Amino acid sequence: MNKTIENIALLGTSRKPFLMGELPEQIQKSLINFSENDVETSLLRAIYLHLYFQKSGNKSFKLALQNNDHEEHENKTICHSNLIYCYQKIKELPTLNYLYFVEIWLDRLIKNDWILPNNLVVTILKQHENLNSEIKQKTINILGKKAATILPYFPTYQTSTNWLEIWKFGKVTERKIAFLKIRNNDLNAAYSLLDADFFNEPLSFQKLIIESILSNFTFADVAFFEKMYEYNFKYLPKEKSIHKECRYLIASKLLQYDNSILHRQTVEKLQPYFSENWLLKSVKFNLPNEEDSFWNEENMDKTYGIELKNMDIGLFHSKPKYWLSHFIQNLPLEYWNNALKKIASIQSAILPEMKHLLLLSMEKKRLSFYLIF
Amino acid sequence: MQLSNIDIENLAPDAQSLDTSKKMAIKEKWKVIAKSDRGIWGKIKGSAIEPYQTQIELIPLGYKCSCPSRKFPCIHVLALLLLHSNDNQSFTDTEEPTDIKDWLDKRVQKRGKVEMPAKELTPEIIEKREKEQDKRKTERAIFVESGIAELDRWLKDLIKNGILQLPYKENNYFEKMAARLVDAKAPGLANFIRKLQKLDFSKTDQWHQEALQIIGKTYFLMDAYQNIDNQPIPLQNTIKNLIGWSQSTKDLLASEQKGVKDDWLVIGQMIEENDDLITQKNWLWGIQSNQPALIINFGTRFAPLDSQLISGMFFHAELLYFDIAFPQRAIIKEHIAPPNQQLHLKADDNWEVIDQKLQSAILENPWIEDFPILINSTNIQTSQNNTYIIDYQNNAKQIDPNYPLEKLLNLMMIHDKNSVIAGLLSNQYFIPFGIFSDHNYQIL
Repeated sequence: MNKTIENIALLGTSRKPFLMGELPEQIQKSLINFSENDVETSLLRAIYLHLYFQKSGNKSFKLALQNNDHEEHENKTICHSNLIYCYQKIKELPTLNYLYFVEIWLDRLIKNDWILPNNLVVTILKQHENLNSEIKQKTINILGKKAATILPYFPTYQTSTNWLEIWKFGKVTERKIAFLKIRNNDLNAAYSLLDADFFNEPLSFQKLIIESILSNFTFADVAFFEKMYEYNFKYLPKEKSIHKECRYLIASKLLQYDNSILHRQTVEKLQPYFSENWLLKSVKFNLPNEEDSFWNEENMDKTYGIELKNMDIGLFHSKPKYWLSHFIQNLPLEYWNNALKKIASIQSAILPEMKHLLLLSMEKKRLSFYLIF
Repeated sequence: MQLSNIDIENLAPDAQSLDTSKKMAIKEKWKVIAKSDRGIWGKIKGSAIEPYQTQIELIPLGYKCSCPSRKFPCIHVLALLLLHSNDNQSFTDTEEPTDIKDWLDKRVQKRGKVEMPAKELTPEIIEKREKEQDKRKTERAIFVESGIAELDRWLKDLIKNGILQLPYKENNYFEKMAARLVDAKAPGLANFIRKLQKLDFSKTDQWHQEALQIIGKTYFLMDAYQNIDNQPIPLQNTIKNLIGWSQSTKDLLASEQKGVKDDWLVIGQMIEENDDLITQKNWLWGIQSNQPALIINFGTRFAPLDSQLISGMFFHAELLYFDIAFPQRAIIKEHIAPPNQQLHLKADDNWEVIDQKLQSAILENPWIEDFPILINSTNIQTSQNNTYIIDYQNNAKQIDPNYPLEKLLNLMMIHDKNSVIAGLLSNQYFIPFGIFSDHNYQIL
């Protein structure tokens, strides 16, 4: 559909003016022939005239041919029609008998190096799709070259997929799946793939891989994330937004693991802001109202990849509160527990604003921990 | 005409029904099996106390079974047909029981083959009838015009406020307009409104296009109706059909219109279920006339389809076409009989010729949606998840992306360089029905 006509129809003539001059010339000419021409009628007519022209002008197009040389080079013989008749009868048997007889039938074909006629290929592949691997393998053995080209449409026949090949030569989503498959089987093998050439990949692909690791992150992944944090996604004066997003993802995850360097450094930086009141037996977190050497835009961006553009001023009131919410979300609960020592004492000592922030952050994490407040 | 096992397999509604029926196609499982010149019938024990009675008219094919199955044909009909095909001699020639006879007579009568005693028509009665008919026509025209006027206001209001509001409209908004159009005796227009209501609004770009197509098509029809008297009769009939006038099969049979006698191949069959109505579209191809025909059968949950046609069936018959612009829809006038010649299909060599034919058809009937074709195809190619049928000049037409994968794979396997593919051009895509090679037509 013509974009001008479509946009006016979507928004309505009351919101978007209908200007005849913007329509394709042929439609303009046709519309002039009608006597009644209020805006809505003209638009409705323009819609059907356009559809009519489009329908009439819909033509086939030239397509560059691929080479289908499997037909010429088939060197195996198609099995005799008697064997096909025999299969039709086997097909009518109950499952158990079918399994017994079809195996004998398959062996017969394999022994003679015969292949299936083309019109039976899909039926048999479909029939054997959910049978045991032995029958599936035997079925593959009686396929001709042409039949082999449709085998990828039957995923259950893909017994030994070469994920390494897919990682090397596949499309983006295929490569992601291949990486996860390799990672599930052997974590070291997966990281050795990434060591080799991962950082020469486009940033969008690197982010995709980081996200897929995050979906199934383990303690063993911390070292690789630290390496990425240290060398590949450190702050650059002129960095792409995706570069920053990756730093944010990595730093957020590292904060959650107390064996990571970033976690330890952050905890050290936060320590001076806790103060104890011996008299009241309570712990207080003194969040500065103004930016200081730790709570400032540059540090938060460089170290944690936190951008202020995502901050909701209505919820957080000040920048340090927004940054603090990030730490509440990502530093482990045990850390806060230990730092604030006694939960009961927090009730009286904690700043009302911090309570609000904790609630907001905890809600984000969907934890029931906030109930203690 | 005896159906072969392949014909019966094509008749089966699904593979499971076919498998079950094959197990029932054994003489010992049936309490009664018998035949007459016109049909076969049998009784088989089912889950009810009384055995199910299955009855089949062989030429043309029709069936009925007392089982509660909602599949047509049911497993009992398929089983009885298979048994008849494999073991004809087990059926004893018997006089038709009263209920079977009545049913078969009724079917013959319905086809207009039994002459009913006509009343003496005096000139007065004829004149009176004609007057009544004219009065009804005028009344209906007034009704339809009032409906169109209301729809015109409704569409203008919709387009004024923008179709982006469609997903937020309540059902009542559409139902009220559709009901008003039904009252105005324009059920065809009401169907367009129901189509708007049923759009899948979760598919953003797709529903925009679909809504504009429905709206455009509807308004085109309304505009054409305002100018109907200046159109040729076939186009007048087309417009009226789309608005909701039905064309009478009875009138067509009674008319003196000359039919097309030919050997016909059922190239494909499509079944659409809409609420309780089942519509079966049978696409035929005339071997000598080299033209398509569409036979439509209707059924409901309680009245099964009159399935005398099966995909891949090849037969001789006289067809009468309805008098519409670019006529496709037809009815069978004369009894179905075996074909006079061997099956051969004359296909077009390239898509450009077919494109031109389609353009001529659109010129004649701008509302045409389905266009059956035969193409000599040299190649099938898949590119970026789309599959194309290629002619010898490398022109390509895309296969409908919703075409079932199993059928597509079968097509890829069976196709060779000398194949003729039969199918339907619909909404810029191609829907393959079957492949013809070596005098054999194979349904996909």
